[in-house]
Amino acid sequence: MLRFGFIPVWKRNRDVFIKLFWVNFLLPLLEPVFYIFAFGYGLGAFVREINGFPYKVFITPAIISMAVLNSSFFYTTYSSFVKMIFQKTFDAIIVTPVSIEDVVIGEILWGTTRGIVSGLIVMTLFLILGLIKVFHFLVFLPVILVLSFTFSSLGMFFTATVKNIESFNFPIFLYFTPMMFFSGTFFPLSNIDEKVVFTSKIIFPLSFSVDALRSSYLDFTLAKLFLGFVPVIHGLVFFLMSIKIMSKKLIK
Amino acid sequence: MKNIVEGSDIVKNYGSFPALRGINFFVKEGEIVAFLGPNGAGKTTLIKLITCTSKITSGRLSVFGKDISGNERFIKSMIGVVPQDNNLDPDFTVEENLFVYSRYFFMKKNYARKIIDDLLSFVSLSDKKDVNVQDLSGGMKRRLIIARSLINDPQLVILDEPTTGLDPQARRHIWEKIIELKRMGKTVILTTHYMEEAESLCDRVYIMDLGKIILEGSPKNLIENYLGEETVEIFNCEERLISSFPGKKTFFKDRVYIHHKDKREILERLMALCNDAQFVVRPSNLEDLFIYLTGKELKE
Repeated sequence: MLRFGFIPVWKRNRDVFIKLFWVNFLLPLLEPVFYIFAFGYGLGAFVREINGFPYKVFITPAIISMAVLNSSFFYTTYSSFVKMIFQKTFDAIIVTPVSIEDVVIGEILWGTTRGIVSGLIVMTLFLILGLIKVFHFLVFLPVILVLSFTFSSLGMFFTATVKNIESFNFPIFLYFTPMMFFSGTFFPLSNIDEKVVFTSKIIFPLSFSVDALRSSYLDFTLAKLFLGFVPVIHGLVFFLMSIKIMSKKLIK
Repeated sequence: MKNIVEGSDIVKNYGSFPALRGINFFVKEGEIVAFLGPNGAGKTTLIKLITCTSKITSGRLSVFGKDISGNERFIKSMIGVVPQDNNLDPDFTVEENLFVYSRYFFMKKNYARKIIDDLLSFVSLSDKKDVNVQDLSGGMKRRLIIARSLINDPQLVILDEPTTGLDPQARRHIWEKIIELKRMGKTVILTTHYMEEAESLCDRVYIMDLGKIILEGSPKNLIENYLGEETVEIFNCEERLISSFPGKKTFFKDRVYIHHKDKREILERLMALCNDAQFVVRPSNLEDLFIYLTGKELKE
């Protein structure tokens, strides 16, 4: 029988998740609610429209994406790092038939799952608020899946490479946070030079996802949806690199 | 009895640091074997190689007759490991820790539940099964880790410093469990820097220092062959006076240890030459042997 070693790792994380659901998971999901009220409804009353969208609708894809990213990226950074260095959970697992590669895959896939669950909850809230419709779920889900996997992998890459837990501040404040603000999330990139926009999209793949999600409101085409899958390239690169670096780090 | 673990010319370098410098050893089925040595002797490095969590630089190491490279999953499915650090999963209770761990061995849920009940009673933790592991005492955590290491019914159990940091009572409790493992027919490898632990538990010991094995044998034979049954420990006497004494002498810090077959001869000389010296006569132990061989204490 073929045994997938990452499954028990994924299940371990799921079990912790269920135990700590309210405190660890649901409370952080208040953040997107605050965002949509403060910016969507509050600021939106002054901004009114961007590119034909009511401002609250314009930022809806961005806020959903941010919830997904926060949930997946901060899992494979801080949570995985704490498990690896302080709790020595990985050390306990790798003396069983589960390998370090399995552990890394299990962690990344759990981070991905977590991001998707966050996305679904926020989308349901936004459905109630009338910001999205049921059919949006169909478009949003694959895009969110890619986004979640990509940033789960990227987080694991940083976990494999940072020297100590404080060093996460470098990728977080020099990369992650600026990406949240400058990926066509809260304002359109339409009056910026196209080359700059293209480069920034490659560096900040979140913008592909936001664009794809947003296109589903007005001029949805499959081509535009596919652009939302571009970040999977980033994701796969970091997925493979983190497996490699992590096994070198833990099996010396 | 066949060899469960066999190593020859094992070398392990971490970068340019040589952690193991040509180790030869074997462990037979059903034995309790200890690796003794001070911190930095290479004990944990050796354990990591046996548990397939480190890569060998050169030499050969086989476990259950299979080379460690390429057979990691097979070997790891048949060993139980008690690591030096308590790495229980702090997010779970006692019982959940074992259950989550059983999944890493792909055990069926119902079968695991049954095994877990047995294991908890084996380590006397049945009444703690719903307690979060963070609320256990040090000794209980250690026992739970022993239970965890047995979840896959391993043939070989490897314990890396199982009693470090425990109080004497908790230590005895762990020793009892280790002896029971032997009775169950399991092979046990342990590392320790507690001499009395090795002396009372082990069939054989390997004494290590600076990445090498410096001596091998049963604790009793080693002591008798090298030191004799009794040791005279002397304080407060000038080195120059003692140097003419017969027997094997070790000068260590403010003491002299003399190992000689006839203790009366030593004591008579002591009375004659150095009558304000204090002394004790006591059974020789592995600690004496280690100091005699290396000029260092095992425990720093």
